[in-house]
This record gives sequence, C-alpha cells and structure tokens, in this order.
Amino acid sequence: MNQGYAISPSYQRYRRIKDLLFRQFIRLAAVSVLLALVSLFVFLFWETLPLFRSAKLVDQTSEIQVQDITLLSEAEQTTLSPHQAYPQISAGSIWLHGDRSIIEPTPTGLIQWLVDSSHQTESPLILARSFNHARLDELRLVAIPGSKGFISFDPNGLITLYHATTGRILARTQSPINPLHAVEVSSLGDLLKLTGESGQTQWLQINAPHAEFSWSTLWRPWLYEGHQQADFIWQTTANTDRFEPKFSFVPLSIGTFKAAFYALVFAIPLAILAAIYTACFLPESTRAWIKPAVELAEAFPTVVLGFIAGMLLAPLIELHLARVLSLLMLTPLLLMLFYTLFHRFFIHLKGRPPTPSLLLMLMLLLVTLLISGGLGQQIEALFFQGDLVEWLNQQGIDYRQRNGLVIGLVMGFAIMPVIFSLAEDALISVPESLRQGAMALGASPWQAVVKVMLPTAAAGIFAAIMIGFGRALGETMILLMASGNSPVSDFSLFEGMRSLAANLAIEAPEAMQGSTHYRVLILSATLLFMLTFLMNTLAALVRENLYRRYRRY
Amino acid sequence: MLKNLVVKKPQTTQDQRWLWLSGSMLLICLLLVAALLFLIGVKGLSYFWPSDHTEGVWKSFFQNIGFFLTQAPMDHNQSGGIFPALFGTVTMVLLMTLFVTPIGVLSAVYLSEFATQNSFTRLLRIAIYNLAGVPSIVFGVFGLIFFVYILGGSIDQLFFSDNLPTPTYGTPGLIWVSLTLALLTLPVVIVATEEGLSRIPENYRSGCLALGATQSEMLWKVVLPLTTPAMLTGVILAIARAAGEVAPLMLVGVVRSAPELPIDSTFPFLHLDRNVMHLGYHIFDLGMQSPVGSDVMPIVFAASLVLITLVLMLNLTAIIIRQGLRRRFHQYSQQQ
Repeated sequence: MNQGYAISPSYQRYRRIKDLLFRQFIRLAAVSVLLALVSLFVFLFWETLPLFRSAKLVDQTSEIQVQDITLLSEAEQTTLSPHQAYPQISAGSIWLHGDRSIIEPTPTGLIQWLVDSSHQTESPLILARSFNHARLDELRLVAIPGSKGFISFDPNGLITLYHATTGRILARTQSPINPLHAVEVSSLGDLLKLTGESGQTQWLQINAPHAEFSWSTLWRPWLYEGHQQADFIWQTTANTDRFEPKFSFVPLSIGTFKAAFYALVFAIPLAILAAIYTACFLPESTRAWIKPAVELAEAFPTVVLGFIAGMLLAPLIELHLARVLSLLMLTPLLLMLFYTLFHRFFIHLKGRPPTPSLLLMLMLLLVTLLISGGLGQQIEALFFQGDLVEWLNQQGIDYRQRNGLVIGLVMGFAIMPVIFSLAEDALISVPESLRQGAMALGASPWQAVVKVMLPTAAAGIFAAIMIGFGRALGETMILLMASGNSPVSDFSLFEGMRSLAANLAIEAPEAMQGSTHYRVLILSATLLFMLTFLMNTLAALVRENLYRRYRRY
Repeated sequence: MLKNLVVKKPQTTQDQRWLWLSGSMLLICLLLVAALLFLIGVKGLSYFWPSDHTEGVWKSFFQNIGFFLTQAPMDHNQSGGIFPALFGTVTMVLLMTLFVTPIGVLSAVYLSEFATQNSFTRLLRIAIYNLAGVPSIVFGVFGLIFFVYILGGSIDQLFFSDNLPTPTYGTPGLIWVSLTLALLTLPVVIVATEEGLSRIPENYRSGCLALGATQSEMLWKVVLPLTTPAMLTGVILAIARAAGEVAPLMLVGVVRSAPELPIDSTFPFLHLDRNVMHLGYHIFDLGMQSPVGSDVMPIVFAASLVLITLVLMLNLTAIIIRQGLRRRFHQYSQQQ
C-alpha cells in the first residue's frame, strides 16, 4: 500500500543482526560478571589453602652459594645447655629458639618443657607436650633458629622435622648420607647441612612456611611458652622475634557471638513488637510515614554510631549503670502495670476502656521511663551501696567501660530497623482474610494477631531475625570503636570483646603478605563470610517459601 | 452444654495491655531515632555557633559552616575544615558509580529478561541478594588481597617496573577503594533494577513485540527508559551505602591525612593511585585515635552531622523516587 510503511529487507537484516549482537553481548557480559562474583569467594578460600599444605624436606641437589650461608653450630645456639641450668633434664636436651622451652629426649619419646618464669624457686619447668618417636637410641636434636621448630636425627639417617607449638611432626625423611655424623642449620632456619662420617655433605631445604598453624590450636585450649596452663589465646604479633604466635579463633568467635547475642536481646523484642503494632494496628495513613521513619535508623553510618557508643554512651553508662539496667529491665513490666492502673482509672472515670492512640502511649511511656530510671537509682542506693560498678567489682565481676552492654544497646539499635522492616513485611503480607476470619469467630484483635497472624508469619519473622543476626555478626565499626578490642573468652555483659570483623580491621592492614598471620586472617574472613552467607541464604529460602504459601489465599 | 461455650470473662484488659506494650515499643524505636538525630544535630550545629553573640550571629554561623566545608584540616585534623575528606568521599563514590552502574544494570537485565527462570537462576539470584548481607569487612579483605596485592602488584610489574620496589598501584589507593565499594554495592543496584524491571507491566513488552520490535529494541526503547527511575534509586542507595561505609576502606586506601587531593592540575589530573581521605574514616580516626581525647568531640560531631546529612539526603531522594515509581505503576498493575 503506502510506500512509507514498507521496510527494506536489508534494514530488516540489519535489525535482526543488531538484536542478535545485543543479546549475545548482554548474555556474555552478565554471565561473566556473575561468574566473577562467585569466583571472588572461591579466591578468598584459595588464599587460605597454603595453610593446610604439609611441610617438606627437599633434597637440595642444585648448586648452593655456600659462602652466602651462615651456619649455626650446635654450640652456638645457646650460651648454656639446658642440662647445666636444670640438672634434672637429661644431657641430650636442647633449648628451642628464644630460650623459653626445652626439648628433652626420654625413653618414651620427646618431651617439651616450658620455663615457668613466674615461680623462681620451686619446679620451674612445666610439662607441655610430648612427641612420639620410634627409635630413640642415639637421637640428637637441633633447634631451628627463628621459629619454634626443631629437627631430630639419628646415625641411621632418619631426619624428622617437628614444630613445638603445634606438637606436630611436620616431615620425615631418610637422609641420603648414611651413617650421618652431624646436622647443621642455616641462621635463617631454611637450610640443613648434613655431614656424613667420611666428611661428605648434602643440603636439605626446609619447606615449612606455615608450620605454626594447625587446626587444633585454632579451636582447642593450648599451652604456650610463658603460660602456666592451656588457654584460648589470640596474640599474633610482638616486638621480639622469640615470640610464639598464638592463633586461637575461640576468643574472637566468642566475642562475635556475644556481641551479636546482646544486640539481638535488645533488638528482637523492640523490633518485633513494634512491627506487630505497625502492621496490625496502625491505619494505613500513619503506617505510610512511621515505617520509613523507623527505617531511617538503618541509614545512620555505623561509624557515627560507634563514635557515639564509644565516646559518649560508654562513659555515661558507667556513671549511671543502675539507671540504665533498670530502664532496660523494669520498663516493660512497669509499662504493663501502669497501663492496668490507667485502664481501671479510665473505666472508672468514663465507663469505657481507653482507645489506644500514639499520643496517649507516648505520655504513658515517658512517665514510665522517668519512674523506672528513678527507681534504678533508688535500688542502687538501697541494695548496692550507692555504686553498682563498685559493688560489681567487689563481687569479683570485672567492669570495663567498653563492654557488652554498650555494644548490645548500640548494635541492637543498628540492627533493629532491619528486623523491624522485614518482620513488618512478613506480617503485612499475611492475607487479610485470615485475620478477618479469626475475628469473625470471636477472637479479639490481639488474639487474632497472636494466634493467627503471628504463626502464619512466623517463618518470615524468623528470617528477619536471622538477617539481623547476620548483620550483627559482620558489623565492624561499632565493635571496633566501642568494644575495647581485647580478645577475651568471656560471656560477661560487663566485659569487653574483640570480634572477628573488628580483628580483621585492626590486623589485616599490618599483616605481612603471604605470612601465616595473613593467611589465618583470610581464613577468619572466609569463616565470617560463610557464616553470614549461609544464614542469609537460609533466611532467603524461608522467605521465598513463605511468600509462595501466601499466594494460595 | 452451652455453658462451656460461653466466654465468661472477655480478655480485653489483658489484650489491651499487650497492645499498649507493643505500641510503646514502636514509640521507643521512634524516640531513639529522633533522639540520635537531635543529639547529632544539636552537637554538630553548636560547633558552628559563634562564641560571641554581639552582631551578625547568623552571618558568622553560616561563615563557619562554609569554612568547615571548604578548608583543609589543621593541627593533626583537630581543627580547621574537612574539605579533603569530603572531596575524597565524593570522588571515590562517583568513581564507584562509574563501575557499578553499567555492571549492575547489565546483570539485572540479564537475570530478569534473558535468563531462563529455573532453579539455577533462582539460586544465583538468592546468592546475589545475599551478597548484600555479607560483612563489608570481608569485601575489604578481598579488596586488599585481590585488588591491591595481586592486581596492583601485577600492574606494577607490567607498567611501572622502573619504580619497583616502591609500589605504584600495588599499594592501597583511590582506584582500589572505588572498586571495592563497587563490589560492595553491586547487589544493591542489581536488586533495585530487577525490582524496577519486574514492575513494568507485561503488556508493554508484548505490545512492543506485537508491533514488530525485536527484543533489543523493546528493551532499549521501552523497558529500560521506564526503568530509569528504579536504576536511579538503586544507584542512589548504593551511593548512600558507600558514603557511610568505613571498615573495608581502611584496608584498601583511605588514610588519616593525605598530602594531595586525588584530582589536581598536574597530568593525568585524576590520580587513581593516590591515597584519599574519607569523611567516615576522619570521624573514626579523630574519635578513636586522637591524643587529646574528649577535646575533639565537637569537631567529630560536626563531621558526623555532615556525613549524616549527606547519607540521609541520598536515602530520602531514593525513597521519594521509589514512592513515585510505585504509584506510577500501581495503576497499570490494577488494570491487568
């Protein structure tokens, strides 16, 4: 018909090709982006793998610039042999690097003794751990400088590499020189020089970059040099090279979970009850502005919250501990009590129960807060001699200014909007017909909510709590600024903590690339990632199932 | 028989008690938010309030604010302004936007328009959504080892080998900060764009195809222009999140005091390898590590006020755009 509407075949072909190219481009680009995103975390995991690689003693057949290597002879290693200092120790024993523990060959195996510097008079040695060894006759030991490792060898040429801290046999090899006369270690602790009876030499390379790492030191109580008993210790750096690095994830994990737990204790009642009220009892017009107003709390940068927690709230709470505690614990009870009184009074006065309105509630709440605060001070004066912190110290409970209470309050405030928002979403999407049905059967509004809506939305509320928990586990700035960052294994409300995330923020910039410390930190990041990712995935699956179920109504 | 069914005492009093308790909890939430805003607002503004009340109080008040926003810090950051920190924040966030917008939008378009909706894409989508919940410090660690050490290290070996062992890119810097932030905020953009795409009524798409448009023409000329506000929301939310983030940046290139701004008049004008200052880190550093202690409180509150104003304004913009968007497409979904 009209020429204007006709489209030439070449133009059509051009359009089709353009469409094809465009589609392929998007597909390719997006798939590569998504794959890159997934590979990120594979990469993180990959970086921790060298930790688990076993150590090796490698034959060094290639030419070595012997003049560049300084060897430590057995005599040079220590000024005094342990046998001279402690006559009860047998003569073949050696000092480990740092002169704070001794390895003694005994008929049953090798034994590590720690020097107890706190008791000078009686029994100055502590039995640390023993190493199994099959052939003990004529066994000789050499300590490795710069680490807590040592080597044992016998004339038959069996060379074994141990690490004292982890108590592990790292590697074992049969020397090519047999019979073996002497073994010397280079001063950097990376090469062994074997000398045979007839004077021939052979070099061995010690390949054990992450010898001080083991899975059991991460999670079990461990006895370290300079300590009297086994404990969970995280202490990675010190200014001497005799230092024994102590990697235990236990204090960090306890700190992380403790902080998250106290935050949840504060946030859950607040957020869930507020979500119930918003979703079930507020008219749509009020809800429209109240929900974003609460969600505004999510927008606060956590560095600001952390600053307020550490610099403002922590000293304030130390000063008014009793008042804060009574505000937290008595307010809900007093609120119920006051409401009952108010209710009776109102019925007496007007002959009908009061209609709930936010303004009335606000007045009642403010009165309650004032009274419970004042009550706290009275209780402190009556039962705790006027100073709760002092009283706690007398009871043997340590009070730190930056403690679990401060963290619980501020981090609770930080995760409250997340839980509130998601729980409110779950409640508001419960089909209205369920509630109406319950009310038509005679349930009161609150009964309809608690008996019908809450069970229906329970999975969604659970997911909301999980997501809030995940958020709390990974929160960094608040903990960094207000938790004191001391890695203690303690669940006390009044004690500080160090979380995995805060620990990363403190130590990751300083860790030397490729060192054991660096890789252990990456391992802790991977753990944190997997923990939160699993939790979030679980929550997402629960939510998805929930919404699929709602669709039936 | 009937006696058992009669409710003897209606439970309204007890019911009402719980109702009031939950209402009070909502009020506590609101009060906490208001109290925090009030605290930072008052403390922050009082830093600018002139000490002598003689004349032109308002004029010098605004002058103080202007001075604070445009001057460099003095005296180990403990007095003076915050200009380099503000400038650094804006630069890194804008650079991040350049990275994150195309990638995020592309991935979202693929996920909702191209990918077959099977259980694999469902899992992929859940995984991407959950990246938003992964602790930001993990992204920081990733940025440090992958971007700074591996990527930066290899760039140094390829292009700047004369400067080695002094690293050029193999050290924390602006580009790594922006890339880490882009990674961190990618899920935000993807989620927002996907939401926008799913809100476009299906009959728009079928209408286009029925008129003979190809799939790419339909996307380019109809669907994506309609999704622009949603993408904008996502990008603004991403910016708001990035502006308030501190922990990962400490690892990849934010410092307490940088000698030079990342943009200046010497070639190549935008210095991607430079360390930058950041408002959030400025607050952290002043609040936690200054030797004087509580003397710096007022200036930290002033800096916090600036940061919170920035983040809240961005969030509010996003909320407003999103509300408008929902209202706009509400009618279409009603008609269906």
